[in-house]
Amino acid sequence: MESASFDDVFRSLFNERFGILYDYLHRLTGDAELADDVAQETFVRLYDRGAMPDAPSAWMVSVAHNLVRDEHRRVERRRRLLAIWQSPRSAEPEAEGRLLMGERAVEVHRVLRMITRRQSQLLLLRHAGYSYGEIARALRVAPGSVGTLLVRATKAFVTAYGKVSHASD
Amino acid sequence: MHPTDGELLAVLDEWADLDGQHQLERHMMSCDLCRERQAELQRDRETVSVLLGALDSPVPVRTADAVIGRARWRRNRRKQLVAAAAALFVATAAAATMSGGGVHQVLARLTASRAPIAAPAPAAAEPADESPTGVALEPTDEVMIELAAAQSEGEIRIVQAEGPRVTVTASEPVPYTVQSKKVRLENEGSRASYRIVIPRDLPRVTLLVAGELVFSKRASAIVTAAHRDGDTFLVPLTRPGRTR
Repeated sequence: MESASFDDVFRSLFNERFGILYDYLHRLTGDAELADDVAQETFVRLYDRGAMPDAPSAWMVSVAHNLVRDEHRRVERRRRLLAIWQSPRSAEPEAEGRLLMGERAVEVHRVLRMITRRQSQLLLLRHAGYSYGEIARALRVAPGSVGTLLVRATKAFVTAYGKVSHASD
Repeated sequence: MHPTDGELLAVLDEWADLDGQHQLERHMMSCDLCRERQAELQRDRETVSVLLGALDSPVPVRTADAVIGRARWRRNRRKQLVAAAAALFVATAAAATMSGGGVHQVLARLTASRAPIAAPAPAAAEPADESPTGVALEPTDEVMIELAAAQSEGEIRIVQAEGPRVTVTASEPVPYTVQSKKVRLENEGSRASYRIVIPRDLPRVTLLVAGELVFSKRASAIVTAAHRDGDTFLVPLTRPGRTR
C-alpha cells in the first residue's frame, strides 16, 4: 500500500484542526483577525517543517502561543512608542472588538484576564477538546498534573466570574 | 483513600485511564463525600463550559492549498535572499581588497568625522573597536543606531542636519561596531554623552537604547519621547524606556 505524502497528511490535518486552533486562539485573544493570522502562520510553519512532529496538535498550540506572545510584545512596544498607552495596562480586547461581542462575551474575556494566562490556556484548551496529554505537551506540564491544574483554574474562573457579575449587577 | 480533585475531574472529562476510572467508580459507590465533591466539580465545570460557549464565533474559510502556497512562496523568497546576500558578500569582499573601494571610503569618512578629538582612525570592519570620538557613515535609505545599555548619567543629543552623513560622537571612549546601516555602541558602564547627527532627508532612522526604541524617523514623521528644541532632540540616557 502506498503511504500518504506529507502534503496529503498536511491537508488532512489542516481540514481537521484549523477550525479548532482558530476557535481556541480567538477565545484566548479576543481578536478574530489575530487568531486567523496566527492559526494560518502556525500551519505555514508546520508545512515549512517538512515533517510531522510527534504530537502535531500540541506542537501547533505551542507555536501559536509563541506567535501570540511575539505579537503582543510587538504591539505593546509600538504603543509605548506612540504614547497611546496612557492608562495602566488593560488587557481587554480592543474597543472595536468589544463592539462586536455580546455583553456576556465581554464579561467572559474580562474573567479570563483576571485569572493567570496559564489557567486561561488550560480551560480554553479543554473547552476546545484537547486531550489531557495534548494539554500537558502544549503547556509543558506533567501529564499527571493536568487534572489538578484544571480544578484550580476552574475554581479561579468561577470565583472571578462571581466578582465580575456581582460588580455589574 | 479518597481520590484527588484532579482525578475526579479527569473522570468527568473522560480522560482518566480505564483502570483508574473503574477504581474511582467503585470508590464513589460507597463514598458520599467524594460524590458531593464530584457533583460540585461538575457544577463548576458546566458553568465554565457555558460561559466559554459565549465566545463561540464563526471560523473563517481557509484552505490547506492557500497555506501551502504561502509556505512555498516564502521558501522561494528565502532562497532568493540567501543568494542576494551571498552576492553582496562577494562584492563587499572584493571592494575591501581594492584601494579606494567602498570600505576604504567609509574609513576615510570615519577619520574625517573624528575631529575635534585626535586619535587613530578605527577600522570599521573590526568589532568593538575602542574609539574616543565617533563614527560616520552615509546610508542611502536607513540607519539604526543602538546603545547597548542605559547609563547612570549622560544623554543623547540628536540633531537633524543637511547633507548625507550620519555621525555619532561620544564625549569619552566607547567601543563600537559599525556596518553600512547600523552602529552599535557597547556603552555598558559608560557615563558618556553622545551627539548624533542625522540627515534631514534620510528616510528611516531608528535609535534603540537597551533594546528600547527611543527615537524613530520615518520620512518626515518623527516619533520620540525626547525633549525637542527645533531640530534637536534630547534623550536622557538614565531612563530611556520611560520616555513619553
